[in-house]
Amino acid sequence: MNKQSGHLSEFQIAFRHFRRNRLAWTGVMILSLLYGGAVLADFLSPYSFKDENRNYSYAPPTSIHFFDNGRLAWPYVNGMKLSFDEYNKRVYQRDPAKHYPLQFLVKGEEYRFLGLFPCRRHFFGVEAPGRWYLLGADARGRDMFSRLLYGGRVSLTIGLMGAVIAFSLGLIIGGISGYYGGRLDNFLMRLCEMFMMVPGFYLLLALRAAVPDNFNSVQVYFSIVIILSFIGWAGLARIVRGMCLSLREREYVLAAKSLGLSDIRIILRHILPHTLSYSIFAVMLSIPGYILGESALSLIGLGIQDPYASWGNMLSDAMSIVRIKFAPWILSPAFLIFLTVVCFNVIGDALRDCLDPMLKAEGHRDG
Amino acid sequence: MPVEGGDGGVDVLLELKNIKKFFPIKHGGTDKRQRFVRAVDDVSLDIASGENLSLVGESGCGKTTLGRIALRLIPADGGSIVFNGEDISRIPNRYLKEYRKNMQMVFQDPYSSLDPRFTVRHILREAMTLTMNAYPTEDAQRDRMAELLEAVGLRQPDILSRYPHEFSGGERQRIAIARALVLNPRLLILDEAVSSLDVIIQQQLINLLADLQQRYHLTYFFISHNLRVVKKISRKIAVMYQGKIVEAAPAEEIFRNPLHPYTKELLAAAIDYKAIPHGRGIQMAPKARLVDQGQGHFVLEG
Ligand SMILES: Nc1ncnc2c1ncn2[C@@H]1O[C@H](COP(=O)(O)OP(=O)(O)OP(=O)(O)O)[C@@H](O)[C@H]1O
Ligand SMILES: [Mg+2]
Repeated sequence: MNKQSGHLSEFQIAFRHFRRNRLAWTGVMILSLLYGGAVLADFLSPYSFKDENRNYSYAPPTSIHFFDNGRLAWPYVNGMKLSFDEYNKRVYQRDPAKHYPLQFLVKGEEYRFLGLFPCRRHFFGVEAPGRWYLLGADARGRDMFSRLLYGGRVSLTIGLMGAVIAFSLGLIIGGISGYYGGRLDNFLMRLCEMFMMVPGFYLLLALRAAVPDNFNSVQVYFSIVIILSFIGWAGLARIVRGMCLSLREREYVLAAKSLGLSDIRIILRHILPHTLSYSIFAVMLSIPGYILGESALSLIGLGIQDPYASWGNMLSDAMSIVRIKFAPWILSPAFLIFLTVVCFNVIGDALRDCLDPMLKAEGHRDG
Repeated sequence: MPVEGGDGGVDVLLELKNIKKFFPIKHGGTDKRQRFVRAVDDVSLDIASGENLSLVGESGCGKTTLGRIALRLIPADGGSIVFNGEDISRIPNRYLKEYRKNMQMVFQDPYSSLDPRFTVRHILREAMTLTMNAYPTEDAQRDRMAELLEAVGLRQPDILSRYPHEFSGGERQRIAIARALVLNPRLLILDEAVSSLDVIIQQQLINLLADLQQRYHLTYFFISHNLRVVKKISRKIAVMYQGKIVEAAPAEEIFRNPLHPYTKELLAAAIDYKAIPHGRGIQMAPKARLVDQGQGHFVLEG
């Protein structure tokens, strides 16, 4: 209703401010691309995440050719011939005899489009006997590009879900603690401190160790989400609690109380919304931590298990310097993790800047 | 009890008996004894129906604290609150709603008494939650809002969709009054309702309050630090100093014949703008009691 009449709430004003920040918008765009890629992974990827071909172990990125015998042609790739050099290292050579044109909506493995209906078309690729590695192949000859898209599904959502759960836990526990005060507050805050005392990574390992090892991949995924959020909520809860201690003294809270509103409603409507401006950017800035946490777990083999892809477990392939030297493309997940982390940080910083006037007005600038 | 009508048989709406509130002072260092601010120290007051009582005293003497205790917004450390013949000081919180309909408060700071995230429409609608069955439909709610906004003299057309930061202090205070009136209370506690406003707006609001009293049969418990402001609207005045009532009497009596030295100072400050010599010099014995001087005039002595 306020849109029609031109009256802007503080959040709307802050959002206008945010839109003017170029860097942050670039971050938003890049993240949208990454998340979009993860959502449409099975359509966009030429191959499935477990489509392996041992003949192409660590095959380099396939070069695309635009000229055929000196004449301009529809882009195509050639086949590859495998040979070994004097150190018994694999060498892939172009095989000009085999010629596979690039195709859009090429037929491939069947999948369910957006989980809804079965579909065989992939956005681009080459016809069957040919194999096309946009970003090279991993040890088992699986397409890195496809696996990056599938891995994004895990790595990008695990961070987000972990952050959302930690955020809700932190808000609720911090809100209750700050609003009621007293002994409950004391208890909850000591609990927080227990979680904050243990260094994050050890807690991560300890909790992971507590998860049964016969879990399937979905169960592992969710247990990692829960583990991650367990680690993150305490910090936010403490800060939110501090804000609530001062917010509950505001006269509009007393007014709501005298109007007979229940405690829950007061907390949800008049207290927690005022901590949002802080918590939103706190959460934005914490998402990279969750993504890195998942990557770390998967990297040391405690997270998502092969053949399922996550950026972290793809990187576990890149733990040997020799492999990185001869197949540098296996580092590409690291680049995506880096990119994502930077984007979230840039957005978080921009949010802080544009929510700053609100934070100042609400008197918890350095909360 | 102090501040009693001459004819005794008046219908007492709110009775505060021996209210105490001590706030612990946070202290560092090695001193292990807990110290307290005696914000409200054994205060007793009656407010009869339709009879406005003003509580006057300097900043920090405990007026707001007393007002909040009366509404049970903060717990008292001692004493009892009797509203309309019923002791509400020991009722569990969940049953308080019934009483809160009858007592509302307009808060001291118009800049913090309205939630900045809510439009006026939301603020007023929220105030209706307790009486939802009285205004069940959108239309009934809208009519009620329009009536209240008209009553407090806010007439701009788009007022309902505006946010608090789009109003002046005086306008905000009117919104706060409208919100307090939503539930049709019998008693309105006005905590420095006009203190933060300029003299002209103060006068307007005082007149508005007088009108509203006629219209809605309200009783006011008016809290102020300025005697002059409450002169017109109050029938009785209680003077508070360092958590105690030092003098209580009908309004004219206080102005004509102030007895306690602190009242004299307050009066001097309000009327002649004379600098207060120094209030802290006034001594009060712990055993001091209010003594009846006749004609409902009580003074702290001892
Ligand atoms: N929540 C609290 N915790 C500790 N001390 C408090 C608290 N609330 C009030 N006090 C103290 O109690 C005393 C009375 O405060 P109160 O707000 O009732 O004063 P007041 O008469 O309303 O003053 P003003 O005219 O400035 O509003 C003050 O000394 C104040 O410091
Ligand atoms: Mg006050």
